[in-house]
Amino acid sequence: MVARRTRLLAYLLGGVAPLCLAGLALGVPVMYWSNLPSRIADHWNLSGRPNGSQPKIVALGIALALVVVGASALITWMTLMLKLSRNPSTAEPVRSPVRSMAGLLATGLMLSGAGTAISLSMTLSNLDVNSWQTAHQDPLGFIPLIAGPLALAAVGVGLVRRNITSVSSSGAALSDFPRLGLTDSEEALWLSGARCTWAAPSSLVGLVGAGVLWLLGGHVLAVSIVAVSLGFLELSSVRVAASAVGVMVRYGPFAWPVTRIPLKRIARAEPLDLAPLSWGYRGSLSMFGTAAVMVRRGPTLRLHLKDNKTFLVTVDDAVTGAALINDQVQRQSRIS
Amino acid sequence: MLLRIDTTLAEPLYGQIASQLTHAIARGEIEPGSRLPSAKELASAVNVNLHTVLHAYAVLRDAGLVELRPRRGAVVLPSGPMAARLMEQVRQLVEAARGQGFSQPELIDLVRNEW
Repeated sequence: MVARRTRLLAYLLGGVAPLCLAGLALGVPVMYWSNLPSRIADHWNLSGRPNGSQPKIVALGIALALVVVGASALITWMTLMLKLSRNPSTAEPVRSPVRSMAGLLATGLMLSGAGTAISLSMTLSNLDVNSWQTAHQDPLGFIPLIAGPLALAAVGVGLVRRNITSVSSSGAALSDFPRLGLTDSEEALWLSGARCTWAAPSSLVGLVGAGVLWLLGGHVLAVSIVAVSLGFLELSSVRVAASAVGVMVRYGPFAWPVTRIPLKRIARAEPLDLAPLSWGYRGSLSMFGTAAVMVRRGPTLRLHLKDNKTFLVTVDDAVTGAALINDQVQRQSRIS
Repeated sequence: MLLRIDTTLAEPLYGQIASQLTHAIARGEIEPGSRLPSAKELASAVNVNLHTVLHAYAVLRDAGLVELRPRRGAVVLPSGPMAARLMEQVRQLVEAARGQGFSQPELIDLVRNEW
């Protein structure tokens, strides 16, 4: 049932939606091509008067490119979802709950929605005018341009969240997962972590490159590279501690920021073995209900939370970590 | 690494913590330059008194496994793994000597003669 819903949503949001959006973004300007001036207004002041223009092929081409990038993300999302629905037990990297791909879906819908909205807005604002200077847009016209794609992404993610909760191991009992066998007189602390071999050197190269660019005057590019390099550095390693208190995850060489998940929030833990595409911080516990912290492929700890959310983090010896957490969860439930 | 302490064992809690951390350092589970968890964090995680953890860390420092730095906590020394392996071998030697009925002065004499 879950697999069928997954396929249906995958085709709807990853296939039909980008086709419809691309059709609108391309079809409407083509239909009114002869009614548009050779240069069209593409930027407006607060009173709705145009203050920027481009050749219509360029302006509408950029909007269409945005749709294509968004559609690519949606098609990728659809492919992963279909792979998952065919074989949920082995279809890594999306063996984790379907929600972990919600970020990709939201990005795809927002980009393709924004491209379509821009294309339609430019076409309608420049329709039947002699030159771009006489085009007019409602001063509040920017609101649907922003709200439309956001609403589209929210609806898409909402559909996925409502219809597909999780795939593998949903409904399994705690006894099905690894256990350590702690006695009542024992206390334990599990410390582990994982390291990405290429992220730290890459970030250092990036920082050096940014310094050179800064000296050469490319300040904006240098700042961008510094931001990306620091992001790489943050995901170059991760340290995890689990005990009767809960699970604590520290990121990067400075062990900051810290994610704390109290034991009372955890339903169970299980070890996984994640494969390709497993790098980066994906999802969000608060927004999408799933977050995955991947610094390398291989052993990963998955925490099922009591509020149906899921947290994944790559760690060495995930089996021991999961076993300890499950023991502590059972001990706590016995006490309460 | 898994640190597991049992309140019903005869070995004191600080000794259990120290020996398990020694074992982890000897096996390379905690690498040189790594920081051990803060005493407060470890005490809270395994539900023991803060002074018990500080006592265990002092044992590791005296054995040359870690360096206790203000605000940085306990950091494993570069020579830590070798010292930890030696410490484990000494522990095995002491246990073997006890098992065979040797007294402490007799064992020390044996070591001195071998040296």
